[in-house]
Amino acid sequence: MTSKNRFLTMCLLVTAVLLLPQISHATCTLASFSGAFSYTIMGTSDGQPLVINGTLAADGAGNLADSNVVTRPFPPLVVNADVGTYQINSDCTGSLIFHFSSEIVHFDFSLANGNTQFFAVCSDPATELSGFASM
Amino acid sequence: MKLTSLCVFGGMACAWMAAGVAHAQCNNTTLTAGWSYTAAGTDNRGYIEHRAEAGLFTFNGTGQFTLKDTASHDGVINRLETSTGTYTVNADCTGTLIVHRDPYIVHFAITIDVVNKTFTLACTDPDAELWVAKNYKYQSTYTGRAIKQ
Repeated sequence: MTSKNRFLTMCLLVTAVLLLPQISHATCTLASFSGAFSYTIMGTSDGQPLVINGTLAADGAGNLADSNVVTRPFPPLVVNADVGTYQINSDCTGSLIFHFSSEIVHFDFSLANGNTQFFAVCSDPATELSGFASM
Repeated sequence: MKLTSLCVFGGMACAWMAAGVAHAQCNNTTLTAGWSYTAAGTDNRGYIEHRAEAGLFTFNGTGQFTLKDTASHDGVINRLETSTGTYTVNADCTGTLIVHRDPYIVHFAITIDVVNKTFTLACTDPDAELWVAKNYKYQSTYTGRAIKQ
């Protein structure tokens, strides 16, 4: 191979490496969602304003541990600790199910930033709740 | 010859790095692959409707995208709906998204932060008759944020 060909080959390789991250699509499994996240969820539920701040731990195998503080007009402050499960699709969207003592709450979510952050929206009727979580 | 190749290659690398630190220059290829997002706010259809949604934009780099999201409209949930749309990104990294979801079309203004790979979006449909079929007046205060996967 001549020097010219080696140079052209190197340029092609560099170009391919630079372009690869832009055209590749994220592929996720249960293991893609693991670690501790801090989150805030805001919106309304049954017509009442609601804010939830908490921490969420995902074990990479479909299980969640969650603790949070719910702020709303009445009752004004509720502290929760609960567990849950999650599913994740290959496109890095998924669903969360939280098992509280008195109810089950569902969210849909989408991972971002190398699976270190996610956006979520509650998928239960009579809610308008969405939020953001970050490691 | 080796020295010449090294200089040329080094020059290319420096030029590429300089482009990254100089003024952001964006175009449609700035948005590619998956960007997760959430948006929330209110509509005015003669009454205030609360909205919240989250999902995934998948951009093709040439002005088209698909959207998969779950949305609440006043507590009525539409899960994992898919739609398509078009987008334009300007050189200053502002742009527009147009979401086509029959029977309506929704327009957003976006501003891209290329360093942090995020963009903000705000609905730009004030008092437009978007829900023509139902003759609703639609005035939105609907904003959100997206982050690249």
